[in-house]
Amino acid sequence: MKKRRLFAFSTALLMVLSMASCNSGSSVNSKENDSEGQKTIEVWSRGNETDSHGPSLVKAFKDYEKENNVKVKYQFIPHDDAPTKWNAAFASSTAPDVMDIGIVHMMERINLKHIVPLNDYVENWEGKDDIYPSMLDLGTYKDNIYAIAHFPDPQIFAYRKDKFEEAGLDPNSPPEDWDQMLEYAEKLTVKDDNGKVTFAGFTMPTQAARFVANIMIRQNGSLFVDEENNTPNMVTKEAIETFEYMNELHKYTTVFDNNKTDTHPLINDSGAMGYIPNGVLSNYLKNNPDMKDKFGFASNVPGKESAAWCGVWFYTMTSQADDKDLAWDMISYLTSTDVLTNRVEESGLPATFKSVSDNFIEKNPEINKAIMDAVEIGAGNPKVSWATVYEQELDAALESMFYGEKSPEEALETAQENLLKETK
Amino acid sequence: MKSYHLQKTCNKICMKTIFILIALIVVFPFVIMVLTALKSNQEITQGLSAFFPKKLLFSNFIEAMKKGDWVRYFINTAIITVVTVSLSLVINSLAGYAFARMRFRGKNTLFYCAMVGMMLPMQVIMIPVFLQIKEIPLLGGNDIWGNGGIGLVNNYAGVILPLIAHPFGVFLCRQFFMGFPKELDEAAKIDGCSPLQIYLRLYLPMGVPIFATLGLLKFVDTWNQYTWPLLVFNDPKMNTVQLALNAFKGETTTEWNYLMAATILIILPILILFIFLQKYFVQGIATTGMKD
Amino acid sequence: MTHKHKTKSIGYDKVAYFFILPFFLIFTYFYFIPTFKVIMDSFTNYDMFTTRDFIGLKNYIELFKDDIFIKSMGNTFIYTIFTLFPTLIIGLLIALLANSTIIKTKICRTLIFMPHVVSMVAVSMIWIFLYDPTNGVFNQILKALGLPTFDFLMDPNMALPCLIVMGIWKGVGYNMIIFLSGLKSIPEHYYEAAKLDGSSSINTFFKITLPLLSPTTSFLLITGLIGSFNVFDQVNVMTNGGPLYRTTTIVHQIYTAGFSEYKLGYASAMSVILLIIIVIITVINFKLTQPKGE
Repeated sequence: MKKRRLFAFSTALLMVLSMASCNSGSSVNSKENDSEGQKTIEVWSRGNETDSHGPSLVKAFKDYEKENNVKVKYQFIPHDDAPTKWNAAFASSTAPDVMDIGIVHMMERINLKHIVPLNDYVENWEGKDDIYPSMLDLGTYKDNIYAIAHFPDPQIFAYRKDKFEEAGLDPNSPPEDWDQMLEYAEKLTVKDDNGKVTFAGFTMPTQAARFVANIMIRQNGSLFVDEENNTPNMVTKEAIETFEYMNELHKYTTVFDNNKTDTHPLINDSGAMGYIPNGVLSNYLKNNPDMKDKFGFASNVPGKESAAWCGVWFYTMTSQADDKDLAWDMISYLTSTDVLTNRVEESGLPATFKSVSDNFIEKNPEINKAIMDAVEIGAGNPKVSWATVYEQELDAALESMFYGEKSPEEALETAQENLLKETK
Repeated sequence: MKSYHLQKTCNKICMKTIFILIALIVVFPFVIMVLTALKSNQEITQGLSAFFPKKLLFSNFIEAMKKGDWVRYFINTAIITVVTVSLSLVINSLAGYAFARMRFRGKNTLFYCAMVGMMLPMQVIMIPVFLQIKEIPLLGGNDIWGNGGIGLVNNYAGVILPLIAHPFGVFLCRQFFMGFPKELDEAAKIDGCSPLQIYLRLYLPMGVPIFATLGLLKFVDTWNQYTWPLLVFNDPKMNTVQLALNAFKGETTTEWNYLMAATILIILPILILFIFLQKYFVQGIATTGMKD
Repeated sequence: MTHKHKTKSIGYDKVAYFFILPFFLIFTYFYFIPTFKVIMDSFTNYDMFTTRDFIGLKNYIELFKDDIFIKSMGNTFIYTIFTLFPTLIIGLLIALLANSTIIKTKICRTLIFMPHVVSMVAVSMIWIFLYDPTNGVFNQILKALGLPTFDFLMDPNMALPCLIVMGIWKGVGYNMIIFLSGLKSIPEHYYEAAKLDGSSSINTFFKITLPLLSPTTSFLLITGLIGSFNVFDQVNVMTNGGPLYRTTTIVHQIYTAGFSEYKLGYASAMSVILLIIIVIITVINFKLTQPKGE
């Protein structure tokens, strides 16, 4: 009796399982071109359907399907897991035709030969003169254009006007140079009885401070990496100065980790000025309209020079794209003025093309001007194959300095040593 | 006599207090979770500075469920979980019984092989296992060498099979079956029962608490699977609840209130199952009519 | 009696292979072959996509010169010791409480089990809220009580203990449930016999409960060991190995080397070391807890 029941039970289970397999099997086949000879293109974008420019992207795909009689298979990949998903897909030859990547992923995808150069296509591309030259440059490596920038996400300088006023500073002008910023930071800082900072004069991340370092080394007229010779260049007079200056500023901050943007002091009412990703601040101001008047913005506080760090999203064509012409057609469609104008309109987020930037600035002049200024002077990661290790080492060097384990010079020397091993 | 009684009540109160205290400490982070789920967008973007929500927004639960086709996500997850749990129970308890009670050549070697298979973490074998899913012979358009098609990629079975194959359940069943009195087996053997009959007539009914435990743990594990569905599925329609949570996470901003609301809704089925299954592990095997 | 046993052990049950066949078929395909591949890759310079050349023991030699990997081993050991044993002991104590017939524990048991139900990633995100240095819940409570505040995860000396506390919190409910099932499978009459002999309850615990629980304890010890040696998700979400590499673990190092630097050969060598450590400890564990006569 029991035996029979068990048998029936397991049979039922197997049936469920096979049904499940068959069910999804049918959707698998649709990846192949179907009987009508309609072409299929697969696009992967990071993010999700409902967030930031997700909705406008979905609309663009639907329009493209209608206009071109092409089936668009699109999928949104969560940001944190995008590299994992890509790796699995490329390893198993199930990668899409077009995918969107971030500036931090570009070099590794080029190294792994996952994305292909677009030079031939770009030459005849009408968007070539419309895109900001600095942005086109971000997607270029060794004279090959691998990636088309479409969405800039710069770090902008923001400060609290009300706190400036309280400290007796002019609320309408951000600090003019490094010395003044240090002076302001001291005035704006609030400490408790034990000498612990409770309100940051300058928001200097203790962990993942590489963004700030990348901005400040440029402002100090140098770079940590010699791109032409493909070698690290960490131990220079400028680099040591930059580290020392950052260490000074670190006295006036509360501790936070720049990877956890939700804990950034500027949006937690515990910091007076600092660099913050545009996306984070914009979202905060959207939900807290009463704070809008309390913030002032600038693209950066220059040292010897002006410089900003600009994160960028790219569209790329994968090495596993079946129909390269179709894949390019999709990229140029997604970066066309029509599509981007609609996207800027709906999401309120900037784009990398001149033709849409005026429109964007008009929407919210004060902050958006600062954003577009930052885009114009924005630079990204060094373009070397070991960019990921560079990021790790830079973070580690800054951390060891901030925690007082190493002097600025020692920290830089260690980083240089480790990076040299990598480039051998 | 009286003082004995008093001591007993005292003990009882003491134990109860300790137990409730432990439960309260453990549950504290969940209070934060619930409070977060009830906050407004404005309070969320003020990060951590607003601790208690000014107004309890129960509508967040509804808003969260409106982002995407959550009914479908729950059904997908339920299919995967139910199939995985049922098949694992059958397959694992059979193997666990064999390892605990039967004698055969290579028993120890095979058992240690199985143990080694569960030692490497997911992150390490992720890509090799994914290639196995894709290159499975004769399925999903593959030939006998596993080439040509896409195997079990984008297929429920691609998620279910690796989960069933995990040796955890075999190990659990073996350990518990080893604790059962051996004399029972021997008596049954003398009565002329085959191993399958012993398994079906003795171990299956006696093992109810173990099956309840294993079923529950496997349920939790499968319900919370994230990486396998992420890698295997290429179709938003096949999303599981854990994957769907990503709808609340942007690159730099997270909608914490919706995320927490959805997370709470996701753990509810498991908690209900737990409450329902409790009586099975509380029942104990003594009640199944076993003597010595 | 002994003679009877001996004659039995001569005969093998061929049917046993049919019992384990369904499991072993899929297990071999999905776990054993991949594990074998990882071991093979540890002798190559595999980078996942372009190269896969045999380079002998080079990866292993480099490993022992890698300061951060050695640090990660230390962290992993500390994490394992301070998470595994407290979790086991607390789990057992709670199970004993929950097992007693004197008090009703249904709701409390559910509450204590809750941390196990939520995925590690979600749990880590909640604990980031609790541990935040400026506005975190713990510091707000400390502030309200007039006590000094801490940097928790941002303090190099506190970060690993913070992860350990969370690890214990997450694991206790699971341990309780398994122990509870173990306790319930101890036949009641053993206790009755002990009671008749006038054995004290502490004596009963050490003489009867603990020995009879040994398969359960062994199970929890081994799975707990594997689990805490493989600690990764919370590190990845909460600290990313920092500050100053104080919370980086073996699997975190494997992940970094494999998936952000694409040195899969090197990462595989780390995995093999991890595997060897776990195998050794598991074998010792089995030898110690194996019931006599097996």
